[in-house]
Order: sequence, then structure tokens, then C-alpha cells
Amino acid sequence: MKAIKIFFRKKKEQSIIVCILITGLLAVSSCSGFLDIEPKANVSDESTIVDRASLNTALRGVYRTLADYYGNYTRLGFVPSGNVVYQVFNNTAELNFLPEDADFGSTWSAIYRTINAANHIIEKAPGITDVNLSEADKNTALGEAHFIRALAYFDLARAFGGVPLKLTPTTDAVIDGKIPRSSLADTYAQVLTDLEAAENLLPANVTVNRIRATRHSVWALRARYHLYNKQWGDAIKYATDVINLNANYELLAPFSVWFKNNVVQTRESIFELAFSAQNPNSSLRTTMTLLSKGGEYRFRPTDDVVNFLLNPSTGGGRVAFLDSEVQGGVTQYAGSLYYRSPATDPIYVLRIAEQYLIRAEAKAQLGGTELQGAIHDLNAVRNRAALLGTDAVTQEEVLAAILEERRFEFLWEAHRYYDLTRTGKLKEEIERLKPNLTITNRHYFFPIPIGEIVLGNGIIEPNPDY
Amino acid sequence: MKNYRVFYYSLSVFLFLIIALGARSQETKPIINATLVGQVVDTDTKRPIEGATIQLEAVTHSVKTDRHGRFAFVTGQKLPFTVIVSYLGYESKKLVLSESPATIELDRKDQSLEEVVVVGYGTQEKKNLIGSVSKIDPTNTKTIPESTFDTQIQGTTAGVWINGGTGIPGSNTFIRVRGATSINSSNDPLYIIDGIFVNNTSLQQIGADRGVSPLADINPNDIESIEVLKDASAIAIYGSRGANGVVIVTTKRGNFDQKPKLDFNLSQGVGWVPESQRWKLVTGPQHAELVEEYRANEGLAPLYTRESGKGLPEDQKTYDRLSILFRNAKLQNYDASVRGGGQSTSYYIGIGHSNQDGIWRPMAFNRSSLKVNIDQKINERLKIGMSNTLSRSNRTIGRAVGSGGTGALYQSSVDIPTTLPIYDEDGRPLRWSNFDNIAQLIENYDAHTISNHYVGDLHGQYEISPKWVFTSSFSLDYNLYEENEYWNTNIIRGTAANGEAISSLTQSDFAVNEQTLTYKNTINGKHSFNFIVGNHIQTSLVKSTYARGTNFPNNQFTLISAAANQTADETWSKNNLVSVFSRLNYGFNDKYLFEATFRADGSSKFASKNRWGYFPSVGAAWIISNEKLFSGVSVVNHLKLRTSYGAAGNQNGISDFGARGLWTAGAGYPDGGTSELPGTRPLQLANPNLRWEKTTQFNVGLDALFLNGRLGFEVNYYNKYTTDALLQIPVPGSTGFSSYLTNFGELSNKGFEFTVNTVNIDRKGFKWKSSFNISQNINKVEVLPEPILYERFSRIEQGVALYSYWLYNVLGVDPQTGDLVFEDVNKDGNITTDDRKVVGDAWPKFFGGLTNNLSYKSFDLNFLFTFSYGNRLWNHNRLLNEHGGTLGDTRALTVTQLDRWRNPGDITDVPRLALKNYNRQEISRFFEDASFLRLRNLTLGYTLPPVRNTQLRVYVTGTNLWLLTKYLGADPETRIERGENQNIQGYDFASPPTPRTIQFGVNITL
Repeated sequence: MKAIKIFFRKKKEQSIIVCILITGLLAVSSCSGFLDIEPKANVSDESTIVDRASLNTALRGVYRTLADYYGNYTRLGFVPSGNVVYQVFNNTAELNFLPEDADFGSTWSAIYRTINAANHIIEKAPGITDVNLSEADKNTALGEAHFIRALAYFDLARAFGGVPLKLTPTTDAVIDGKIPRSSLADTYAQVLTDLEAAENLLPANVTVNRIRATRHSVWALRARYHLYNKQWGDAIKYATDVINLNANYELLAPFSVWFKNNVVQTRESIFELAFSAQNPNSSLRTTMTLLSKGGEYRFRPTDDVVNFLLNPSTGGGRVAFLDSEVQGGVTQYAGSLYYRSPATDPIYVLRIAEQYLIRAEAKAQLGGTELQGAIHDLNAVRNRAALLGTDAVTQEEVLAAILEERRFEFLWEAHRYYDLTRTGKLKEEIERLKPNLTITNRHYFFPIPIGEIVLGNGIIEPNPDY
Repeated sequence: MKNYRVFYYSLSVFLFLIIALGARSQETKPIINATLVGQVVDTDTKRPIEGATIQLEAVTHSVKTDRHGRFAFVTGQKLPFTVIVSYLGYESKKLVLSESPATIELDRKDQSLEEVVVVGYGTQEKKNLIGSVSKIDPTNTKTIPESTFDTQIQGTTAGVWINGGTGIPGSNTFIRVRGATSINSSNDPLYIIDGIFVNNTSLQQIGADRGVSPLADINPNDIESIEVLKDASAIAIYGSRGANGVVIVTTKRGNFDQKPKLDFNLSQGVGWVPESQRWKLVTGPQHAELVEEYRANEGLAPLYTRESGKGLPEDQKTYDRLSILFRNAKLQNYDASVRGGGQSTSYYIGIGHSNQDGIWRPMAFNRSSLKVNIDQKINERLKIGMSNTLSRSNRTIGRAVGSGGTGALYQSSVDIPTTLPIYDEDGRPLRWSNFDNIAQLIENYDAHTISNHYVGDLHGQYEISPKWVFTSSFSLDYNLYEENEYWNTNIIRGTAANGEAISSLTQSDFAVNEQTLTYKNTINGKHSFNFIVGNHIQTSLVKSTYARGTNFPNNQFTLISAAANQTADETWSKNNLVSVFSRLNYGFNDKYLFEATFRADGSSKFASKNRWGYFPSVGAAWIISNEKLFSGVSVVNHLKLRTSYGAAGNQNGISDFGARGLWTAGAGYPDGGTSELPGTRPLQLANPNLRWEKTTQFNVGLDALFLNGRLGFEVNYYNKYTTDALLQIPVPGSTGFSSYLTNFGELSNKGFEFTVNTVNIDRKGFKWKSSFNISQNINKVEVLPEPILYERFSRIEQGVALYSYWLYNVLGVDPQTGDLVFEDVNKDGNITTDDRKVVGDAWPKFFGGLTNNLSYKSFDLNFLFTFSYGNRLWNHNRLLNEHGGTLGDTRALTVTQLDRWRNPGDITDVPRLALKNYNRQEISRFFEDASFLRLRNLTLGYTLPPVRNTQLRVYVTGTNLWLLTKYLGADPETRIERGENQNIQGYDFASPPTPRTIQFGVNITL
């Protein structure tokens, strides 16, 4: 008691203090629950794909994620082409590929985000039990996810070579991050596996939908797949299957009607990506558009491209790919395919013109009697662009003419760099168009992004000579 | 609702205590018997001292002097009296008064040991302090035209590295107390104003290339003192909130029995940027000449020809865009305050208005504030009080950086080649490169924000007995931040969207309830005890509503309602914290001091198993000068050795829901046609094991005071070690994620701090005092699984400091070829990514400041130098504008480019104009030494002789009057937060330099 008396003089004092301490203890102990807060802006992992409605929303999310990567990816496809001059510091246009360049890292990551989102559908959809979800609808969703994954791996393969094959949703960053690169052949094999799965799962009775995957888009992508893999017969077969659907897909003329005047989902398109004011296609539009039209005008077509397009006999209807303005006495030229405000310009993934050129190229490769067919298909595309038929005759000339045709037909789409690498013409063409550059073997693939190599910790091999 | 229950519960307890306890106490009245009157004056000036306390020995009764220094005493005792006279800043005097009226002279003291220092949940006399606490008197720094008080105190405090230096009024401050302890959680100190925890995180949603500081809403004129708590002993009582140090601000309050005292402070001035601190670009002909030299070297056709319409190099004209951007900035400050008090009520009321234009058009900041502090004695034992700050700050936003069309002021003026005209022959504005026309941009800029801010509390204190005191407080920091932008079709961004408007409202609602119970006693005159126990309950909510409209009918319509396309967004984030804390101080014989602190924090940010963190600390001090050995030594006034060790936690700055696996909506896509339907996708990986980051800190220090206070110094050594660092760890992109939040990594900060205060001259009428501080902090990432790269240049890796730069190391320019010579780190004969290395970091090796205060008769002069040695800056501006001609006529060139190599034998560090020398950006030659010595502030004042108690002082103050640096950029203290990432520091990009300012002002006291 004596010890207590040091602290408390009076009983009253003692009781007040005890009272305060008890109150304080009660206040703290009543706090369980105070520390449990649920987020409102986002939802937890577990409850995302559980029924018909959530499957559909997650599937739309996969498409949006796909559309998100296609902006950068499209630019990477046409910038290292000899057709573009950057007005700001840019290594890609000069084919000075560096593993630390953000373009490669962000594109790589964005593609894998799409793959992860698709993997969620592929893994979770089969397990959904919902009376409102028919087996057919479930298969359609699965087929779409397989198609998107096929496209994503195809895009990775042609850009980076063999890549890690990630086929399940990521749940643990440490474990899921330890997948080594597969070979290029295995990566392409995965593309084919997914395309075959998609074809089986998607309804045989196709309702045309140019912004979602259907059996038609599967065929069109297969045609391209076989062309890249030099399987000329299969390329011809699938391209022909699509070209024959002329009630649904056709070469629209005059040339610009498939993209000018704010049109979307024209009969030119087999598969295009949709954008909106909420989810705009800003980056592509901004980087290439003139300042007076609200762009940043970061790059422009080379003088060579401008002169070619301005000449009616070589440019034809494709002059619509150019925009220009006169400022202070100087004419500035810019690319024009993505021009809308807000930037709702679609990104064209699969167009009917490509199917003609795929068939033309495959036939030209076969040569002999097929050569005439090749010229026929090539001229179909040329005529649509208000150009005279080709004067190429020999197999070599026809192949060169097809490559040159693709250069301008797909001037602002994700083709040119891959056309040059797959045909082995990168060195010849780039050194022709940009004489102060030297192309070596390493330029045939983009570098694996530095982040993947550092984080891969020995598992991820860099591409040769990077 | 659960969350509010705790508050209601505590509130009812609080009110009960006030009512119940208030009723029980009684007033005590003295018995009138004798009277004593007199006056207290300053020994030197003989001016009356107002507010001095006259206390009769052995009696609790005391009185205070009025504005004329007079007092009157009525007591039960008879003459002679023994009285103790005391006043803040003066030596206390004990004397015997045998007659009435009496005149008492008090001596001013310089370095007061009795000085009271604010520590966590209480005050301590400086001589008994165990922790490392710096007290700052803001009198001399408050005239510096920075909008936040924390930027103003730069250079005055050892161990505190502050870099305001952005030239953007109202923007945030970079501040590190004893280094940086965290990678992904916050490194900012905790700010407490009058016991109220305040938010210092920017609420800005739009125009986000620079954060703003909510602390800019606080009027520096209302501040009485600022304390910075640095070591474990001082900060541990703040537990999870104190790991990065604590800044405690005490605002002015009235005194009881004080006649009203009015203060007016008016000042006007101007700020500008001298030529030496602007970017220097080549002339038009020089630009063309450099480009042609590059093209010739590369074998490319000439660009500047008659045929191209550009004209020959020598025909180029030079156009100056910088003079459109820069301006003389107006600075205005008006403050008025009154403080005083009656027998049981005291008050301080302050109003202020401050106006600061940016040195770049159109940036501006202005603030109007009202401060009301009231204290009320309900009875002898119960006191309640309120602190209230109400303010509104308006900002005119101008983006310094941006990408092209987002209205970037810097790029639109500096980055465009000087050859290109601003207007065409008809006066139409021209746009070049990829940027807006600067004149048109400034004219059409329309981005404004308003910060409506309330910081206040209600607190009560009940003296249960002289030993026991109970306090309770409720405080609120409520900030409503409004933002409005309109981009009309005269600027690129408006053109892109056919007019774009953004309107955003962000609310930060931060409430705290605290109770403390304090026991204080001295037993047998030898054992002094001070014990405190308390709790802390806090809830923090940040939510915003954001609307955007595009496609407007024309530029007359600026509200979103007129837009054809309208989109909206909403965010909501909340966290709660519950804590209990206690501290015991024990002193023996005024020689040995001991302190132990403990705090436990529970946070809603972690899963329930990891929720609680426990943070203890111990400290001890030995007042050597109180040992017998020193009893006859008059040279040594005070000598104290102190040490402490303890832990603090950190969870600030991480996402409120960082431990959870999340999916996000907003990824809509059409099923067919064009109408978008909702979509969801993965956003964040879960980490249920996420837990507290912990920093332990050891401190040893010595305080000394010699020669009657004329020489004092304080030295500290500290060693901080952080474990379980909260880290947004990058994961391979192939997982579909870029990173996830985890506890990985360890960091250390070790350093010295040294402060010396001297009274150089102290004669009648002439006084000169100096204070010098210098600090060193060595930061090191001790453990990190894989390096993390930021913005291509900056990288964190194990074994080096944060803010390191990972670059190709340039050894020089080969005098024979003119090409860059790189260090071949791996010696494989090729320069590849493997040859990049950390070449240095942004930390200064030493930094500090020197303050001098001189007064001669009625004149006063003070000046402050700040310095930093060994810090480096990434000169991104120079990198972009030293492109060697590769970008032809689309990018400007700086004058440094003129030093390029031209002929064999040339010795220079600027390489030959060739693509191979300019196609790498990550090279060390742009990572420059940014050491500096700056005359930060100089003030000269003159006090007129008082007229009827009216004191008038006029002054002139200048800032940034002189700068010594080798740095090639505009300002060695510039900085940018790239992508709002705190791990990128020392990055100079498109940031306005610190202005030079001159202000004239007057203080009037009635």
C-alpha cells in the first residue's frame, strides 16, 4: 500500500485513474472490426468468374486487354521498317534495338497480361455451374479465349522468337515467374494448338462479328500462321476459305472507304479491335497525327514514302494514308489511319486484303502454274487501290512485288517489320531505304526486355547478340 | 458503422469527464492582506516586458505583467517577499522585494538550457532531453517566399535534407530526416500541428506531373516553433508513424491575463530568374551549322538548302521563346493577428493572405487563411481548448513537363529549335516539333485548383491531482481539393478531343482521437518520474469523383454538361489504425536520465494475422556537468552524453488494399456493334503475408555549452537499419503482372550531424550570433533480390544507395577520333547492356547551412547560406538538347553542343557529331556534379523607436541572391518526380529553377 501511496494521494484520485484505464482498455478492445475494411473500387480475386454474367464480363476484359497491347504492338510492327522518321529521340526507327528500351518491355508485359486474362477464362469457365449458361455459350467463350491466346503467342513469336509458355492463371508471382523460354517451334506449336481448340469450340454456324473471334477469324489467322511457317498449301487453303466468304468479306473500293469517314467494322475487316471514348486508341493516333489536328506528330513517313504515295501511278488510292498541312511555308506530311477524335479508330488485326496477299505469296512461292494465281490475287489488291496490274513476271519479281505491295497496303499496320524478317529481306530493304544503317543477324528479332532477363535470373536467355 | 462506434464511444467518455469532473472542482481565492506593485523591464533596452511571471515563493499564486510591464500583487503575506520572476527567453531571477513599487530587470539569455522543447505527447526541458530533437525558430525563415513551412527551414537543421527548389509555387517538398528508410512506403516525416496529425500527401489528380503540398495551406506566420524529432527515443512514441522522423509544429496561442497585442506584417516583392540560371540555346545559324555538320559526317543530304524552303544555315534567324515563358513574379504577403487573454480565456486570431506568382507563366499560388486558437479554463483543474485553421489555396496550374500535347510549358519553349519562327508573316501562331506554340499555350491555359482545408482539434485537460493529468482530444484534417481544367481548341490537347474539360473533387478526411494519462512526480528531491500512457485511434479516407468531357460545341462552352462525350470516375480508399502507447522517464539527481517507450499499432492495411506491430525503445543520458568534478568549472555550463536505441514501423504510402488480390472493372468491350459493355480483368496479385516494415535506430550524441552559453554544440551519430522493407517488387512480365507488394529488402542509413552555435559578439547594442550545421548520411541498400530499374536511368540494387544511376560509363572523348570511349566493364570488347553500371547517386556527401544573426542598435541583419557537396544530378534537359544534330530541325540544341570535337587533337567532353555518339542516352556524361553553395536568404531590418507602445520594423529580404555551382543545368536543386515515383530523385527535367527574390516589408506591433 505504501508504494501505491507514492502515486495516489487520495482514494478518489485512485478511482478516477482506474476508471480511465478501464475505459481506455474497453475502447481499444472494441476495435476488432474497426480494422476490417473492404475495398470498394475493386473486387477480390476469388469471386471473379463464377457464373454467366461474370464469365462474360471477364471475357470482355480479355478483349480490352488485347486491344490495350495492340496500340504499341502495331507501332513496333511498322516503325523499324525504313518507312518512318522520328522527330524525337527514338532508337527503334533507326533499328538500334536495345533490351532496355521501354517499348519492348511494355509490349511484352501487355501481351502477357492478355494471356493471363485469357488463362483465367480457359481455366475457370469449364468449372462454372450456372443454369443460365448453356454448354454452347461456355464453349464459345472458351473458343474466344483460345483464339486470343493464339494471337498473343503468335505476336510474341514473330517479335521475340521463342517465349515462356504460360498456360495457367498466375497465382503466385514467385512460382509463376520461373518459366524458361520455349523454342520458336514450340511457341508456334502452341499457337496452332490454341487455334485448333478455338476452331472446335467456336460455333460452326458463324454469325459475322468483326470485333470478336469467330471461326472466320480463326481461319484468317491460320492462313497467316501457315504463311509465316512456310506451309504454303495450308496458307492457300485457309486464305481461300476466307476469300470465298465473299458475302461477308470483300475488298472495298475506292481504297479509303474501309477507314475514312469514321466507319467501323466494314466488310474489309475480318477481325478488328474496338475502341471508345472511355477506352480510346490514343497512343497510335497521338504519335502520328499533325499538331494542328491535336496530335504530337512524333514521327512521319520518309520522303521516299511520301513521294511514292503522292505519285498517282504508284500511290493510287493509298494516298489516303497521308495527311499534310502547310505551316510557315513548309509542307509537313503525317501518317493517317488513326485520326478520329475522340480516338475511336479501330485497330485492324485481320483484313481481307491480307488474305489475298497471303494466297498470292504462297502461290508465288509454289511457283510454276500457281504463279498466275499469285499475280491475279496481287492485282486484285492493286486494282482496288486504283493501280494498274503488276508488271512482275518471274517468281522472284512476283515475290518482290508482293513484298513491296504489302509495304504500302499495310503501311500503318503491324506487318512490315515481320514481313522483312520472315522473308529474310530485312538487311537488303533497310539498307536500301536508310543507307547509314547496318543490319546484322540480331536485328531479326527484338531483344528480350532487360527486366525479363534480370528477373529471370539465368532462366531467361537473351536473344543472340543482345 | 462499426468504425464510427469507437469514435462516438470515446466522445461520450470525453464529454462525461468534462461535465462530471468539471463540477467537482472549486475555485480558490486568496485572502487579501498586502499589495505589491512594480514593473519588469529588459536590462539592456529598459523596455517593459509583457507577460513575465511573478511568483511568490512557497505560494502557488502568481501574476503576469501587462503590456507596460507592470504588475500588481495582492497576497496574504507581508513584506518583504521572495519572488521568482521568469519570462521565456530571459534568465529567471529570484529576489527579495522589500518595498513597493519595485522595478525588476531581467537579462536576456542566449542558449537556454531551460528552453522547453516539444516532444511527443508533452514537453521537456532541453537539458533533460534524451532524444535527438531540433528546435527551429521560424522567425527568420518565414519571409522566404516558399509556400510551405517545411521548405522554408531548409539548411537550418542538421540531419534534415530538404529540397524544395522547384520554382513552382505551392508544390511539394522533398524532405528526408536522416536518410531514406523505405523503397515503396513513404519516406516523408510525420507532420503534427498542435497535436493534430496532418496529411502531407498531394491530393492532385490532374496535372499530375508535380505533386502539391497540403502543407502549403498552413500560414507560416501563425507558427511559433517547429521541432524535428529524429532518433528512436524521440520518435518511438509515434510507433508506426514515426520511422521517418516527426515534424511537430506549434502555432501561436494567447496567454491568460494578457492585454490584446496586435501584429501586422505586410510585404511586397518580386521574383525572377537571372540569365545565369536559364537554359542557353544556340543561335539559329549555329543550330543549322551543327545539324549540317552531323549530316555531312553521316553522309546524309543537307537539310538547310534553298530548295527545301528552309534556307541556308547562315540565313537562319534566331527566335527566343524563353522570354515568353519567364516573367517577373509578384510576391505579396499580408498578415494580421491578435493575441491575448482574460482570467480564464486566452486566444490567438490570425488572418493572412499570400500571393505568389510563378516565374513561369501562368503558374500562381495564393492562400487565404484564418487561424483561431482558444483556451478556456473551466475551473482550476479543467481546461479545454481548440485549435482551428481554415484556409483556401488557389493554384493556377501550368504543367512543367508533359508529353507533347499535354500542355508542357518547358518543351514548348526550350525544346523547339531557335531557327523556327513563333508566328508566320500574318501573325498566326506556328507550332513546331511536337509541341504547342508557347505564346498560344500560355494565353489559353486554363487549369485551376482550389484546396479548401480545415485542420483543427478540440482538446481537454483535467488535472486529477498535481501528479496526474488526463487529456483527450479529437482532431480532424479535412481537405477538399477541387480541380478544373479546360483545354480549348487553340491548344493541341483541346484540338485532339475537340475541347476537353476535366473536373475533379478529392476529399481527404483524416480523423484522430487520443487519450493520455500522465503522472509526474519527484520523490525525495532526487527521483523524478514522468509516466504517460495513451491510446490513438485514427481513420483516413480519401475519395474522389472525376468527370471528363470531350467534344464541345465551341470554346465558349467550358462546363462538362456541354460536352458530347462525358465520362466519370470514382475512387474510394480507406484505412484505420488503432494504437496504444506509453513512456516512462526517470531521472536521478539531475544526472542520470532514463527513458523507455513502447507503442503497439494495429493497421487495417494488413491481413489480420500480421496486423499488429510492436515498437519499443530505450534511451539514457548522463549530464556530466552535474557531476561534482565540474562543480567549480565555470567554463563548462552543460555537458550531456545521450544514447538511445529503438524501433519504429512504417506502413504509410502503400496502398490501403495492397495485401489483396484484386480485379478491376473498367475494361469494357462490345459484344457486337459499338456499344461497350462492362468488362473485368486482373489488377493486383495477393500477398496475405504482407506485414510491417521496421526500422531500428541507434543514436549517440553529445550536447555541450561553454562560456556562459557563448559556445554550444551538438553532435550525433546514428545508425538506422530497415528490415522487411515494403517493396513493390518487379516480377517477370510473363506472369501478366509487373510487380507485387511484399516485404523484401533491407536498407541502412548511417550518419553524423554536427551543429555549433556561437555568440561571436555581445556588447551593448551589438550582437552577432552564428549557427552552423553539417550532416552526412550514407544510404545503402543492404539486401535486395534483384535490381529494380526506373525510367531507364535510375536503378536500385544491392550494395549501393537509393537514387543510384545505372549508366554506360563514359571515360571521355578520344582526341583522335572524336568518338566516345566507354568503359568496357566486362572486358568482352563490345559495349552492351552488360557494361552498364551504377556510376553514382543523388545523395550529397555533406550538406548543411550557416545562419548569422547580427543586430546593431536598431538594425538587424541575418543571412543564411545553404550548401551541399557531392550530390549529382541527372541532367535530362541537356541530354535531350545535346542530340548532336541527329534530330535535325525538330529539337533545340544547347550551347554546350558547340564544344563538340571537330579536329584530331581536340580535347573536349562533347563527342563528334555522329549517330553512334548520340544514339545512347544512358551515358554518364549527363550525370553531373551538382554541389552548390547558395546564399539562400538575407534580411536587413530597422526598428524605429517605439511611439506609444507601437513598434515598427521595416525590412528588406532577398533570397537566392548568390549561387556557386559547376552544374550545367539551370539549378542544382531542381528536381522532378517522374511518374510520381519517389525512387527517382536527382532527376532534372523541365523543372523551373529557384527564383531570385527581393521583398520589402513592414512589421507593426501594437
